[in-house]
Amino acid sequence: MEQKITGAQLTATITLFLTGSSLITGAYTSAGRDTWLCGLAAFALVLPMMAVHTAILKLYPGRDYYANITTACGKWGGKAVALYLFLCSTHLVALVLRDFCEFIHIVNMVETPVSVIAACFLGVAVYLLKKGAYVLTRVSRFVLPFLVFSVALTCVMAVKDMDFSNIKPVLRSSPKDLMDGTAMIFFLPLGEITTCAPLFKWTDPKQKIFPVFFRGGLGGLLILLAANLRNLFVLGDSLSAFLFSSYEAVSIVAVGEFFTRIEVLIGINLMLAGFIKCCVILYNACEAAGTVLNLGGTKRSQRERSPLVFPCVLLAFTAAMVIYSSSEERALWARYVPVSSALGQVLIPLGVLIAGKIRKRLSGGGPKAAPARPEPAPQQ
Amino acid sequence: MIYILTCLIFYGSLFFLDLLPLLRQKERRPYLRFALPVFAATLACNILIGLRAPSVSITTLLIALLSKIQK
Repeated sequence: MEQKITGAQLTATITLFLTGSSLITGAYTSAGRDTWLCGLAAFALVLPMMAVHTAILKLYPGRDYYANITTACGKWGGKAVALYLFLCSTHLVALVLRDFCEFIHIVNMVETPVSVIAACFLGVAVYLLKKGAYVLTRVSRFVLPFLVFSVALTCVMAVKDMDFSNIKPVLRSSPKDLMDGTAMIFFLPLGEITTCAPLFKWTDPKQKIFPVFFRGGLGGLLILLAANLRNLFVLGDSLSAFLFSSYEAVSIVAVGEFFTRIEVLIGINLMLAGFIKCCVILYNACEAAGTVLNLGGTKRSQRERSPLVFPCVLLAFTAAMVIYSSSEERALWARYVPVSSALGQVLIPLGVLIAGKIRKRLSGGGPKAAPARPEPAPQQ
Repeated sequence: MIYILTCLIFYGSLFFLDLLPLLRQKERRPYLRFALPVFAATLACNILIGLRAPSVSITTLLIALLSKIQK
């Protein structure tokens, strides 16, 4: 019998997923000192999206996100949506992986090529994902306390280096910068919560969905706010000059001469949260690929998609290698994040929900009715 | 050259640990429709990247596409 994913495990996974690579960059936006306010506003905006994903998962019995999409949008419509979400996931994992590898390459292992770091990292990801979603969430549950402890420790130890007046003047940014900052945090990382929805397939049917989304999102937001404010108090205006502001902020911290180089903790944070984030996105990519190709889904086993893991990993590896040609391009891409993410994170989920509700009403079977789902290809 | 060597080791380990067992399991043959082309295509891409063949980054393509859409 396969073990069910508990609410606490999924909450930890969502929290780690949302902190992911943003913890290193400190989620700094064009709003400057008011970025923390943008974080709060973005969280308020992401709540309706959590409700939308909850409603999609509840559309039909089984909590199978991609099966629900296929049932709601029809066979070909569902496949088109799944294909788009697969491409989005591959792109997203390539972005996260490249950030992760660049960080290690720049900060710790200057002589080691990015490709070697990516290959080592993805090798472990393949192993974990082949073991199924339960192992992924159990690892997250184990890892989260370490992340919270390290962020709390760096915040406490940095107090003597903090200048709390750095937060002033509050709301000095222009409304446009505030809106840009809110949009940035909404789409990257909070809106990416879409990617966690397929994991609910393996939860207990009695487990409520929205509270798990909410607690996970809130946990992620609190950790990001703590990191953002710590960086702001320590670095002040120079925050915007650094690519990895958390690393720079914590590198200042030292207790006398016997407890130094605490910035290693930041590297460990990225190893933990970034790894979970990549694994969650890859899991989502496998689910989407399985839906598009009509593979798996018959046995309802957590390892049914395991043969899809390594092709998705290879796509992610190759995409990560050619995602940017220069760091200027990386900076330029930030301007296009809201435009590129709006479709996959907002419009498609809303469209799927509306299509599902209309289809349910037209089928006339009431709220509990489940239309027949297209059967996956028979296994030879 | 290091890039190509890294790719060969990475692809080699995935071939023996994942692709080869998949080829041996008859009931999982449908997965090969996706796995084999992806394996071959990405390996070819990576060898070309390693040989420094001229390429365009994904971000360049996406920015060009999104700029057209925005217009």
